[in-house]
Amino acid sequence: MNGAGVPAWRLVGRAGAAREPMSDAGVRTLLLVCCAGVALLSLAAGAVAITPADIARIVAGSAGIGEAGSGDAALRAVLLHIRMPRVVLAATVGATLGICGAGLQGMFRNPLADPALIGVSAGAAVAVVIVTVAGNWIDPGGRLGLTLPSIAGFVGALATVSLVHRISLRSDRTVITTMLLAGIGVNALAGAITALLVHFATDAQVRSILFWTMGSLSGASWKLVAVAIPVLAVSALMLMPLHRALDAMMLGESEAGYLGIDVEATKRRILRGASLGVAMAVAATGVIGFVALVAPRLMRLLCGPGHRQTMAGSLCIGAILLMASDLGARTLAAPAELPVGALTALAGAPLLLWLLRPQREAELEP
Amino acid sequence: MLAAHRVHADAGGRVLLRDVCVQIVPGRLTCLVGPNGAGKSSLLRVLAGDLPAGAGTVEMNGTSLSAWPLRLRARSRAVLSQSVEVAFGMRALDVVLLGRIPHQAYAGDSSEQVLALRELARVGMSGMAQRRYSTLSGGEKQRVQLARCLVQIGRRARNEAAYLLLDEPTAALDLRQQHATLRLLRRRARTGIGVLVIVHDLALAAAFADHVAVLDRGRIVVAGAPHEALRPDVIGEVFGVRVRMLRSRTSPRMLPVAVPGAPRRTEAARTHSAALQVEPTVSLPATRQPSGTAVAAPEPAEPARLVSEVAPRLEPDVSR
Repeated sequence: MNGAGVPAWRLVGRAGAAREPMSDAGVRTLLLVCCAGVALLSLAAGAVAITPADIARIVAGSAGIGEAGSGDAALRAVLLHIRMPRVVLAATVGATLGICGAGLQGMFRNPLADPALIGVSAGAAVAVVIVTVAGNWIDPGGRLGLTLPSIAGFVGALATVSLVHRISLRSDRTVITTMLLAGIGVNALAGAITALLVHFATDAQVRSILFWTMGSLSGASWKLVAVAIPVLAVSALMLMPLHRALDAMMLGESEAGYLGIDVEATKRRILRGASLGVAMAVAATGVIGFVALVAPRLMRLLCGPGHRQTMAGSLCIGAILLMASDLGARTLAAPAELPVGALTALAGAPLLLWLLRPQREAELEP
Repeated sequence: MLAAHRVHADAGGRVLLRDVCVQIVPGRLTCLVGPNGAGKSSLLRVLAGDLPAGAGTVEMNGTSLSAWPLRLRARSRAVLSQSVEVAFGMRALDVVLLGRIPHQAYAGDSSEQVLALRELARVGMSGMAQRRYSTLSGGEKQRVQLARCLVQIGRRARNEAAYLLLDEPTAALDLRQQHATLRLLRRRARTGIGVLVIVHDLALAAAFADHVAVLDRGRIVVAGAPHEALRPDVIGEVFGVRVRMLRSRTSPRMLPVAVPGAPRRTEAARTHSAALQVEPTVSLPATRQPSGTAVAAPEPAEPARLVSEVAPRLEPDVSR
């Protein structure tokens, strides 16, 4: 974040109706403490409760510090092979959704933009439904197993975004309004294909498709984490340097051009970085809504509209939101597991409605 | 100098600019006037490098505009569009600070804020720095955007020419603010900035401009000192309105004021406009195009008399 300590968005004095955003250092501390707290709680709570002391001992033990092999073997297995990859994956996917949402909202110049707009989830859904329904022919032995829908979802998401992007090109310029309309069209088309395919699916397949569209972290494994973290890193490294360009684009595309920004290159990079990240998220966990929408919004409330803070903070808030939602999904109706996508929407939708209160609108909306 | 030379531009088969020459000279306030749809904004976009010229050249400080790296170009020239809406909830000061984006220290330096606050004060908005941009009136928004443009080309090295291209910065302003803005721009021009302002109020242009270019149907009809360019016959021809020249006791300049009634289309004005159609690309300095002197030179024909009729004693511009 800001080394010099005086962010542009934190303004001298307090005047008028404008709400003073928190200081950078304050927000950073708050987010990191929340993040650590939720992570610890997520590791501790579940079907088997593990005390923080046990967590520390097991982690230290497996890292070679302290007495190796100490503690209950079952507790170790639960923590290291089930719960920890799940929490790490939740944090990774949540962070990815957060930063991608922030980038896309900046590009669309709209605080209500969501990755679903450009067809990511719909495209992934079509591909996943195809391999689910046709899975018996593609992979009769089930050797590819869980990874097949993931790969299909990833490819489907990227293919759909590139289709939407291609439609919105007018002599090498990405036209944002056309892209929104193309997104609506492609979403509708993908929805229709999905519905038709579901019609031919068996009951068991319909059930697995339905659960996929509600998102779940139960497929988490260290293998999945090992793929997800590098993708998040690439996506974040593509998006973060664009904060200056996105700030300029708050004034509109031509004004950003007058400020020396290559607007077309910026839009292309945002689309690539965000679709890569969201495709990974969808492939890893299915469709999880609202995190990408709400995380940047909350961050703007805390820090103002500057994109350096918004994107960096959305990483953190996204991770917190998804870890907390997954914690709820695992524990609220234990031993049953609630769909995490439903929980994020359940928490996110009221939050969004609360943010849309009239007095907030006066502060936030253009 | 920011100069367009024999520029053509079109969009979707419609010709926007034909054979236009203009020069934005540092130190000079140039006003661009003309009817709606004449191509004023297109010319401004060509000069800004936003709209590519189909033919002709645009050069800034001797280098072709397209050869400038985007960011360096943005450090030397700022553009104000007709109206700018801002996404997300930003304060007026936040918006002004966006002007520092082309510069290294953007958002990292409290002295940038000092600069932004100073320019906000110059446009008379110092009390509104913390207000939400979206809650400001149209005129206040325009002044905030003007402050953003001033900040963008602020803090230059000495002798480094910079340019301000402003599309109707006075459109939403009240009378007092219109005058204050043009006074500010003229003062700023004197610090070595070339200023181009599109205005609709011809009296405002006549009162403050060092140089006026009249654009009609994509051509520069006449360009020169205000008293040369804003003559009743030219205005009648281009705008189709009758104009009286008003002399004010506080200014040596003659100000055109539109009055009801059809423009006086004298025989002289007609021949004059015919001549203009033949030689549409009049620009200063006249040495660049010898034919350009046609307007400024005292012709034996009627137009010169028309001017002298209403302005018998043209005094030199003492506003400097």
